[in-house]
Amino acid sequence: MYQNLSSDEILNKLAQIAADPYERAKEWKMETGSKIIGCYIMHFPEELLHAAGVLPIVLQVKEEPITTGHAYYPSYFCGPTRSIVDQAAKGELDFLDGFVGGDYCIQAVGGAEVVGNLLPKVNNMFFRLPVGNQAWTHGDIVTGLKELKRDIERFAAKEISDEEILNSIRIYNKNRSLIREIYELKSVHPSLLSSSDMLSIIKSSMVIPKEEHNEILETLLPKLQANKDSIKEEGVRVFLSGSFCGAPKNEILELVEQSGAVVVGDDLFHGYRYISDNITEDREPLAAIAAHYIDKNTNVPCPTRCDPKTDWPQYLVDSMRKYKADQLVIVMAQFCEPHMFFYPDIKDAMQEAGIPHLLLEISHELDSIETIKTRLEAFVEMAV
Amino acid sequence: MAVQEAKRANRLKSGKLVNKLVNEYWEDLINAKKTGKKVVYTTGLPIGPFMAAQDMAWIHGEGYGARVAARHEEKEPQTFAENKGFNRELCSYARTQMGCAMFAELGVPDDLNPGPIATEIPAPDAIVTCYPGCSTGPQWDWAIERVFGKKIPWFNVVIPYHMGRNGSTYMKGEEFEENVKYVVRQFEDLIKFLEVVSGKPYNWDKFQELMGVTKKVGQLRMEAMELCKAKPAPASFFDWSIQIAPVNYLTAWPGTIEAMQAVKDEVQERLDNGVSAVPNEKYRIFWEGIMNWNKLGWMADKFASYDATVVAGRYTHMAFWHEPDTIDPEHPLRGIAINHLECQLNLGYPITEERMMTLSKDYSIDGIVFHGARTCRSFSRSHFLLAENLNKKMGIQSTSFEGDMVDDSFYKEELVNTRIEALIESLEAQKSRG
Repeated sequence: MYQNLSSDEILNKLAQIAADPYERAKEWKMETGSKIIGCYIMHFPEELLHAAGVLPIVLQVKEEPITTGHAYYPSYFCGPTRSIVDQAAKGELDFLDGFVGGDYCIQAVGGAEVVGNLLPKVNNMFFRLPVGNQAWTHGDIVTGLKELKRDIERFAAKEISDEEILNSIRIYNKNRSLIREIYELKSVHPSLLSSSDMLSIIKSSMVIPKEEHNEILETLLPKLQANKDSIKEEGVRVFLSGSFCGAPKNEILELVEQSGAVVVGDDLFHGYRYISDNITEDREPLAAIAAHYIDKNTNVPCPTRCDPKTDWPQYLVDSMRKYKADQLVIVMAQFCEPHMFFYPDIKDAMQEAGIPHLLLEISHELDSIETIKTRLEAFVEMAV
Repeated sequence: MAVQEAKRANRLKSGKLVNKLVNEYWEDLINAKKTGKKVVYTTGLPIGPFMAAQDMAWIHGEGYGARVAARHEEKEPQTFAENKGFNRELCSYARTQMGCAMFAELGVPDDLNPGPIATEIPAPDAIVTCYPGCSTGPQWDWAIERVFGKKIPWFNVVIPYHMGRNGSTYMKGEEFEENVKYVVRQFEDLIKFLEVVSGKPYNWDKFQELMGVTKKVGQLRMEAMELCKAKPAPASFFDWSIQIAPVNYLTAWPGTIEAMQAVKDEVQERLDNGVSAVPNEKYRIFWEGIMNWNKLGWMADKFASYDATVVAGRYTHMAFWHEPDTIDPEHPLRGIAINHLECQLNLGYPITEERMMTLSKDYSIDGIVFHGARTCRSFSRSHFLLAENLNKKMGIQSTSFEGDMVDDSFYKEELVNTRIEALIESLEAQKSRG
């Protein structure tokens, strides 16, 4: 159905899916009669859920202001967790049959507890993903995966075979590979796609069946490749970092580009972080998924993983050089503790490497958009 | 309407014994390097005996932050941390200790004039994290590891969250047993790590002896607190907060049994003689939230003025060797794991609610104060649910206000006054309705 559309038209379709992220999942449920599981944002083995025949979707932050949710979660918690609580409080997550939480961030733990309370009929699962990177960490992650697999099997009333998991891994790997190809294109031709387009691609991937998303990307990719030489490249080359949980607001991404910058790379969760690495297909599946959690964190370090063998500031310095970026824009969700603990190290690393950076601490309510605009314009102008 | 008269809380006097032990501990710590002791930084629940068995000194991050705040020296390290880029929304214990650690590693900047406690912290030889129910702890310790140039060996005991999956409840069920085994195995690895850091085989005899002390002190404290189920209560939550050191960073320190025995004896004596923590107890309150160390005395007197005894709290009554009978000093690892796994921050919501309801019933609670510690989101995360559900299920009224552990800039004193007054008024109205 996408063959006859232009790349812009396909991107618009993806933007529509991203803007109303649960609609396709609800349709899928009607069509198939199967179950939907919402994954709290970040580290979840969607492949395991997919292998059980359910549709895993990554719960999304909504841009609308939080209202009903205020009664359930304090205002000094991060926007992503408050937004999901708000959606549950408003009944917007009633279509879920289950959801999976984790303990990688205490604000997410609390959010999942509230959602569990608000949605008592929804199966409330938990993925134990131990932090660190010791000799025993891989084995401990495998144990956490086995516990989750057992609970999914109880929920779905079916056993999940290794072959089914491997099949799901292949489908998800294909999706990651296709998106990485788009990233490669964008890093060389950054004006080919806006950062909002990239966000739509990733966000839509998180909320619709991966098989469908793969088909769309297989149609989109050649069209983008065909367009690449007609694009005029200009602007200050900027690398975007942060937001490793909820999606950055489109408004912020647009402001970056309106300020005269082009985004050449990112480590956003709704970005390269989500697809940075594939899962090995020639290993016992749970062991392969566990290894993936350690490997992907080496590729794009995550401050929630508490792995001292990784070095996020150095990764950013290296990425700036790899993508020939002029400036770093850091998007930090207000009250995001893991990010706040790391910012001083990133600041020091950037100063030492002589890389200009701008920290934008973004509240969910976006109460100072004009200030952000002025700061971005002044920052980008420095490099012109 | 409740009329507030200036009344003072009748605090326990035997707490002075604990002060002596605290001073000995800090003396030992500050001079650790001079006496050839290795220094281990820790955060989270008390794991001092693991190090004490190897004759190593340890710094408990939260305990250190609280002590710096109790001496009113917290502003300078907090300012230093903020100047380095640490956001003031980060855990104030962490900001305070990070500031002190940076004084030790980077030196004191010319424009700051910190007090002696804040600048006495020795540099670490190792870091051991054992943090239940909060992702902040390991992230904080990782930040410490980076402050000291990524050269300090770090061991992180991962305490898995006890969510209550598949019907697991407090100290029961498949999830609980899996978690206990997992933590015990990590403690075995921690011991190997400490052998390497200390350069000598682990002293199991001493460790077992220390865990015997820990068990005894834990039992004495729980027995003393249970005496406060009596009406009026002979001691208050604020007393138990002041007495927390012997079951926290002073765990198994020499003299802690005698100190806690003296506390229990005083509580018993008060009970026998009809002496109460608040002169004219009319209301019994539960404190829900972490302690606010620089407001402790002020709060104790504030509630006393309203004839209200804060008799129990999640902070004091659901952690710090609160299950001492699970400790077998001969084989102590399982008991340590249970006390850590089943502590107040690490329990999933349904288990937390059940424990709170049990305590509220046992201590005849009339009302709850929710202290929303702004930078301890682990504690505050379930406050709104607890307020709603305890009211629905038990008819308990509550109030809430924001504050913090060691950053008093998050306090709005008049708001706190108004909220407490509103709770007392509603309790008064409830009592007058019978």
